[in-house]
Amino acid sequence: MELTLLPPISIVPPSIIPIAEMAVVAGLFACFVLTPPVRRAILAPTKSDDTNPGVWPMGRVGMFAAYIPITLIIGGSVFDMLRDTEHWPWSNFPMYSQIEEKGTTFEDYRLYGVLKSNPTAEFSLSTDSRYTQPFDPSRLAEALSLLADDPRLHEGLQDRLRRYEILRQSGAHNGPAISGLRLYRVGFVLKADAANSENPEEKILIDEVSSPISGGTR
Amino acid sequence: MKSIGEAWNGFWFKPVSAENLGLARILIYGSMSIFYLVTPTLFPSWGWHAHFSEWGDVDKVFWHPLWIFQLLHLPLLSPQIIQFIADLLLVSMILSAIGLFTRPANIASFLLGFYLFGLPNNFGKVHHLETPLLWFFLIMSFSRCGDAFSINALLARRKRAAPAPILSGNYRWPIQLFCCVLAAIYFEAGVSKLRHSGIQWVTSDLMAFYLVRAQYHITDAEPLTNWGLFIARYPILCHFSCAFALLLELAYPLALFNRRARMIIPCGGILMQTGIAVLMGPNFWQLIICQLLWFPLDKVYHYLAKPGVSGEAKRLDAVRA
Repeated sequence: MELTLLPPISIVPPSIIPIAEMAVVAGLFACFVLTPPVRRAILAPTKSDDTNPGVWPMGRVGMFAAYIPITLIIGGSVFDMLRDTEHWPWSNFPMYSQIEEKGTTFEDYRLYGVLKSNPTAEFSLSTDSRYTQPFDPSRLAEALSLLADDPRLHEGLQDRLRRYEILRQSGAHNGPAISGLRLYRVGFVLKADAANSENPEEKILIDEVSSPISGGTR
Repeated sequence: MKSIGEAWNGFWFKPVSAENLGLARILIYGSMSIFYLVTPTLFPSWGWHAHFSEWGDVDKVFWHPLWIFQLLHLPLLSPQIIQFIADLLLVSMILSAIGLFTRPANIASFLLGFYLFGLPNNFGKVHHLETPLLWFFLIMSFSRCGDAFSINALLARRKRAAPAPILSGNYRWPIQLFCCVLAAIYFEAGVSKLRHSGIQWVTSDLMAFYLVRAQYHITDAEPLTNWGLFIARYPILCHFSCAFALLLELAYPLALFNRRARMIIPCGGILMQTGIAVLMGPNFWQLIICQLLWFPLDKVYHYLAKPGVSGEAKRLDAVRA
């Protein structure tokens, strides 16, 4: 007889789950802290026998005020480290931790501007982060990869095209005027001198938009 | 031998003067006020340090709210309102730095910073540049950081005839906790590397890959130089820098318990962060400034201010004696 697994039923909103998990851990921690010997040890600094008038023993309120951020910050950090998860502003800080399996190649999502003066020519907007502000190149690539299969991608590209022109006209950057924007998935083969940093070996067009004056295309 | 309870309480609450905490408050709030005021103008190519208000103008198709923004129902506000919040944050950081309305200013800095620093992370990728700052703002909100080197303290001293108590555990735990935050950041990064890649993180040619790829406009900021291409040609240099980084990250908690390590390890951290900015791009300037809190700022201050002349130093010496 085959056993069919039913999909899990979610009755709790996903955003609540980390809070619930943290609450359980915090509850267990609170039980530990409230045991009499631990409680006595924790409150010891409030009963200083130092008679020096210049030394100020910790008050109970002060102790409580100290333990709130201590528990919150360290508890969340330990939780994320043990679970290998990230719940901003806590994090497991995973950047640069993965071995790259592809060796000397990598893929990325990049925007290219179509020159207004020469519609057959295009240039990469990744070469200057001022072209895509407030996005930096790494965040923009990630945001575009999340949108790549989304029907709203076209809308997102229109937004980026409009934004590029607003920044250009306000003097925030001195890039050339563009009449359209193209999103490519690009593939690079790393070279020791990075000479091909603006000429990927592979370029697959994902979507394309034009400014309203030039007429929209897809 | 000390009991665990005594060691724990000594770590967090051993009485110290308010000066180190007051100087830490001035250093972080003051330098960050200047940082967020001038970088959009002086260094506009540091995209993520541009005006926060620009996020309000980004189309909602890019909006992927963080769990905590979802939970608290924090919306994407208009550019005008975000700019207003950013202005308020700047004012509250300046007030915190000078120590006027210190506690309310600390709380406002945390609440406003929480929204502003979190905002860009709702657009596809989480960066950790401002995380230590946010924790600093939270810690200061619960601390008595306005008791020294502040306008509040000056005003209080004029009203009071008797001198205020000047050694307390209230002044130690905030700095200790913030150092724990810094140690945890590096230690967790080290653990992540071991967990995801193991010792291969050091023995493979991963660093060469990262150094060369950084030249392909892939990071949040361009590397300050192209020297990474040179280093990538020498595997021994790559393995050495990987080993240095991993050992440093895993050793960071030692700085919490050993005085000598507290002097050496943060210098290594500053060196590593500077190296990352120079060779790979991401520049954690805020984190570099925060590393200064590992050092006894009050001792530096008294060394520079000639303690023999300072009345405050004489009072401190009397109490310590």
